Amino acid sequence: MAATAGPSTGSGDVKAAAVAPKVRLQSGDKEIFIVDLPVAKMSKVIKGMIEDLAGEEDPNWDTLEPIPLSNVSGPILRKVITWMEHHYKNDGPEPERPEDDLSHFTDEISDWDEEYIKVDQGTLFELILASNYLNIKKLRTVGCKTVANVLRKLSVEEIREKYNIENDFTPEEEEAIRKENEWCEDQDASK
Amino acid sequence: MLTSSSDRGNDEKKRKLTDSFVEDHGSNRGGSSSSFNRNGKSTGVLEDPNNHNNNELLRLRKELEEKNGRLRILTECLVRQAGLLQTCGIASSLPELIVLSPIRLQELPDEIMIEMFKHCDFTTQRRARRVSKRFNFNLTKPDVTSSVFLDTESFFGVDNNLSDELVPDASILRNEFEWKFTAPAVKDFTFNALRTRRPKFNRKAVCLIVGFAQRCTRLESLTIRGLLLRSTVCYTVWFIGVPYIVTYTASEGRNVIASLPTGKGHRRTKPLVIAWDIKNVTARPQVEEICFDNAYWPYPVEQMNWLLDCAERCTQNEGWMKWVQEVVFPDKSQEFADSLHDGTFAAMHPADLQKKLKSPVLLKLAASFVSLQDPELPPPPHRFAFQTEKFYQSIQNVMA
Repeated sequence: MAATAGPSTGSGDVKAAAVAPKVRLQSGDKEIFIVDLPVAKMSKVIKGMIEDLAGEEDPNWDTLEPIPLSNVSGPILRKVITWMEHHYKNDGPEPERPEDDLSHFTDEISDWDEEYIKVDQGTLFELILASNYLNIKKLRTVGCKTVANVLRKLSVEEIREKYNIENDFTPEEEEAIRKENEWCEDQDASK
Repeated sequence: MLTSSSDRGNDEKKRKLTDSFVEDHGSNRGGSSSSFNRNGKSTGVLEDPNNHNNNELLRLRKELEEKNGRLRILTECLVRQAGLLQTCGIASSLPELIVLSPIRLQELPDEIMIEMFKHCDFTTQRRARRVSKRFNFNLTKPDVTSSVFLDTESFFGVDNNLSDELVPDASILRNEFEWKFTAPAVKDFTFNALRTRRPKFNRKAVCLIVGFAQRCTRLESLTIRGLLLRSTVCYTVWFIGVPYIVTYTASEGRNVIASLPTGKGHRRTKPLVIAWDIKNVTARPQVEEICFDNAYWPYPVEQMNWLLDCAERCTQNEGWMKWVQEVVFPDKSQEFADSLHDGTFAAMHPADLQKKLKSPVLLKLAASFVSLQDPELPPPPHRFAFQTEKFYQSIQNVMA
């Protein structure tokens, strides 16, 4: 099955208006997606693969083999492509930041990303894994921040329950950690 | 959407359906047979000592594994489709589907978990250590503990603000936070006010920042995000018992200068002080002059040695001595002049000098040294934050 996931060409969309070569991406379950080359290159892994496949000369993109992304399923890849297309069209160039810049940890998630990431737990984790595999740092950050925002609103017991995590501490071990962090035990959503 | 409480009932039903489906087909979620473990080693029936037909067994095993593999792919396909349909909001109109969470939180690799934890504020990181051993293991890794952030939401809930009206006295607030912990692993601390209502840089914010920073005994950098400063106000921030002045900065203070000296014979109950230089200062032209009354000397021992050296060299400069007597020590001018002349000032230990002279005095002396044309003095080891042309001029005017 071949699916086109190219960007819509709105009248005000300068980037999309330019005729870009397209590449084919193949998901782990053999689904093919046709994506604009610059969009696909937002993934550093795909970018590397394209450069390997294309070589130094400008290749015939129509005959180029689909790029295999065996670790990403079709539905997840479709969602990742949606994210890449949106951010390719709407984001400006990445601002240069010093190496030790930590601001991305406290940056807020954009409204669009917040809507985009409203998926079930399993899909969210698959998206994080896919962004990690494809090396799309911003998407990975959005996913991780979303989980972090959930974690901060939950108590320890609620985290265990929500994520089905077994408490493997002995009572003594747990009590030691609880005592160490007594000051922040009640600093949760209930406050 | 993350699983809500109303979805849990449905999820339970779906899980039961899946379990019965899997049992009927002799499979499980991992795709391995109930008769084989994950390593492919035989268990249960296949280890029956009465069964010697190995070839038949191998054939059966292969066939079973193939079936399991196909079943797993089919199940995963259904799961993904169901998940996406749910995402699109049309799953409710469809018959009950088998929905499994394909990946669970604890199945994620450590590197992903660590990144998630890095996006949690400090209080969440500390609290979540109790969830499980793996949580605790990852949350205590230096990657997580070295750079942390706090925001007001961590303490005051979502509907937070930093208005002065709530806390009229900073000392009251300081006492309210009984943070009985230290965080020696923290090197970078960010106070994030981006999620804060009325994010003024006021007493409450300062108390939060200071209260936390005092417990980070090896802090190297401080970043303040999203706080609004009134243009003419200086705030003195006390870190580990010693104040550091934050003036006219809109966003962040960074760059470690170093630690202050420990005086010989001094009883020190507190760890070495680490001070910060201000980065990205957005000073307004009309408020560039340093406010000595609130200033603090945050510099390390070599800066103090430089001060002593300069003082010794300047004793022959009559203009400077006059300026010192009139401006710096109007009440103790003779005593100070004597100490300069007999060499006791220059022979003082930097820590003693720090103890004897208050920060505004040290800064005034330093400002005079960087302004002097004669004698030619060496530049200070660390740049002073107050080096502005306007300030030089004011010193020169006094000396003239």
